[in-house]
Amino acid sequence: VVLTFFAGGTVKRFGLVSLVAAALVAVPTGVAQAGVVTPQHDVVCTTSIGGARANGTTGVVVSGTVRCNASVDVAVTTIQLQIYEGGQWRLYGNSSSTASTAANINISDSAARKPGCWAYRGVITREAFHHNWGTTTKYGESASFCG
Amino acid sequence: VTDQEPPWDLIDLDAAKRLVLAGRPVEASARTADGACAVAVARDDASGWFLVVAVDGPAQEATVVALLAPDDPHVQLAGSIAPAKGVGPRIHYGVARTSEGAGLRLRRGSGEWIHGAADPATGWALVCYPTDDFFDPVRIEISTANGAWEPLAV
Repeated sequence: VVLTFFAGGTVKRFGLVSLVAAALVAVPTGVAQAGVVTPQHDVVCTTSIGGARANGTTGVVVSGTVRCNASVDVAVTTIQLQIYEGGQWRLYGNSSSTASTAANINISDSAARKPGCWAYRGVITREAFHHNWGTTTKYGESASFCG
Repeated sequence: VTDQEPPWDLIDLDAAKRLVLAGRPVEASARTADGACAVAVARDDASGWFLVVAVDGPAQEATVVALLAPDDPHVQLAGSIAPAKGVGPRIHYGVARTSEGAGLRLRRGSGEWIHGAADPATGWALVCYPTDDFFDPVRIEISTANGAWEPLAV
């Protein structure tokens, strides 16, 4: 069932309401009453991040995706490389970010490799609002490169 | 990247939430001792995808917070869910499934760690923490092969 309501003089179809960040929300479904918008189902997403890959002979890159069953109202998706240095993972280079609220997002981050042999991985973080608010952070598998 | 489009038409979000709220068997689950929150991984029978469900115990409200592809061999996921930014209750959660059988631990500020050991049979490790103070600092760490801990979310 898709609810219909009036906004700004136009009719908008409002089929979803709950949200999520990488996912969702859980407002119970109910019977729609006049003037009441009742969530019909959740907006849910899956966030994926691949392992670090060589980018040419001197670079490293990591890619991620967000796949949702609908778009959300507000979202910020960020992906960034990390390097294992000094016994811990540290952010490496500059992050890539998008404020796209689209249901499907592809995003990647690349940087020049640090001289020597180092392990890299990626981290993707998504903050989203669509009735509810949520965050998700997911880490990819690490890979080592020399040079 | 596990760049699969989830089979949305097959996945039953409400069924997963009902299953978890009813305390029925799922792939893996963990809850705080007082039942204030729970996090569970439920397998959607029709699609094979895994649904991560967070539960606000007092409200008995379940939320599907993430989907995980059935063939994803490496899961290191942390997150939180709240009614709105800045508004509690906020349920923090961590989910891991790695080939090393990594466990998780979570703590608020400098408080005691809440541990989520990996299930030897399935490899899933789960942890959750509820807080009415949205801005309560929470740290989640994952164990490494050499027995150390590293941050998963701060």
